[in-house]
Amino acid sequence: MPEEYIPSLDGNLTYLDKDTFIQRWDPRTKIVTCISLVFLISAVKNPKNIVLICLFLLGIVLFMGLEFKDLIKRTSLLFPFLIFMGIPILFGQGIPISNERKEIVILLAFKSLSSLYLMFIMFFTQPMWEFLGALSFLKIPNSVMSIIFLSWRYVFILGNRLRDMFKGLYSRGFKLKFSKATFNVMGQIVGGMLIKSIDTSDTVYNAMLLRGFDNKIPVSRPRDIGLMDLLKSSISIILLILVLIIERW
Amino acid sequence: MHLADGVLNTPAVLATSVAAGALVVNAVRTLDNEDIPKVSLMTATFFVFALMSFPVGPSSVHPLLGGLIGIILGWQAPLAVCIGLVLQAAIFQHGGFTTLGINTIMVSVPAIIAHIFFKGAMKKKMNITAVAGVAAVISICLTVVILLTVLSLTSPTFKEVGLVLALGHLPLAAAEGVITAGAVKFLMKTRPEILSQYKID
Repeated sequence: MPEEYIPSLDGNLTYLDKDTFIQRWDPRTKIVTCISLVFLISAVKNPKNIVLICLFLLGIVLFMGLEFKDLIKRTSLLFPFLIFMGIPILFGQGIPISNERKEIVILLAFKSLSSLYLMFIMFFTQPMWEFLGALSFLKIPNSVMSIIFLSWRYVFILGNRLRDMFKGLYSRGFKLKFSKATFNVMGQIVGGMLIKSIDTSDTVYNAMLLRGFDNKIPVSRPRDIGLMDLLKSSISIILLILVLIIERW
Repeated sequence: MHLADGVLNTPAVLATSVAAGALVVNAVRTLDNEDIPKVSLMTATFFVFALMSFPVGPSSVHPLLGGLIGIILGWQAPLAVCIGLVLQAAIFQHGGFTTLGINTIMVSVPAIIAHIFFKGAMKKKMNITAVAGVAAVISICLTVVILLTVLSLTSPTFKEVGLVLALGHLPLAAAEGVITAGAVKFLMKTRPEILSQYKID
């Protein structure tokens, strides 16, 4: 079945509709804070600190309403990467494994997990349209925002079109395998989809221009940033900076 | 493959973010309004085809299509790649934000090189299908070279990982060569104006 090779997009969009302090956080300050925290986390050097930060973020992720089953499912997507990176580092110079290599793997694993949890906080605590709308108010150029909005739409159109194409191919006995014949078919699919999609995108874009589109996607103005939003952002950033300062003391 | 957060150290994160930022800013500065649908579409194409995976032995590989993106978008490729990576992070939490810079560079710099190579070859009236295939193979090889360079500069312990990564990308280079050649051949047959920037007769 095509689902085996092309995952569904709709099932991966999660919005945790629960009333917690994370959901009430203004998306703009939340985006800036989460991205800043990811960058600050990359500077953590002590394995104990990164484990504590990771556990703290895990607690927040569970508190904001992500089900444990969903958490495991989404976290497990990171495991192949961690195994792929971790095993050669651990056993690259044989056994016994040096403490330095163990530390590197712990830092790598928990930094990746912490960043993943920050992504959950950033992406799952408001509807995606609200997230994209918030980006518009972060001084991102209009042309880039237009591309983001249009791409977001095309991703679903192309994704569904690709799945439909594969359903057709599978019903005719096609198997996706590592062979020249498969890649030739793939090349024609890519070309065919591009042509069909370019036609669609040109039609849509021209229709938008005719309706007065001036390369600025209209989005509703978000509510004003409140004191609590600023407080949440500054507390989390200051706490992490303190950890980094204490670490280097 | 996309690197997740936690792999790069702070200097590498800063250097790659600044370099990728410069590429994206350059792409935005040279972007015409008429290019917006094409760039959006290639962003979605990059995203959607990266979802597919071909079984290779016990593992699997997914297409990057850096060569094809470079051939179609040229210097605007970094913008499409960067936005595509952000969308992948939003929907699947693939990649990361500290590695957005290196992941953008890993696909878009080879895409630009593929564009330059393709342009040069078209001026010499070489076979378009073969050139597109070679451009795609070059793009994957460059991706590996960039990845290995950054990993080795980050930490000497990543040397072993680099070897595994390089081997893992070999089948991908072959696959992308054939896919890109097929796609470009198909585009030339049915809609040559998409490649009109290359002035192919």
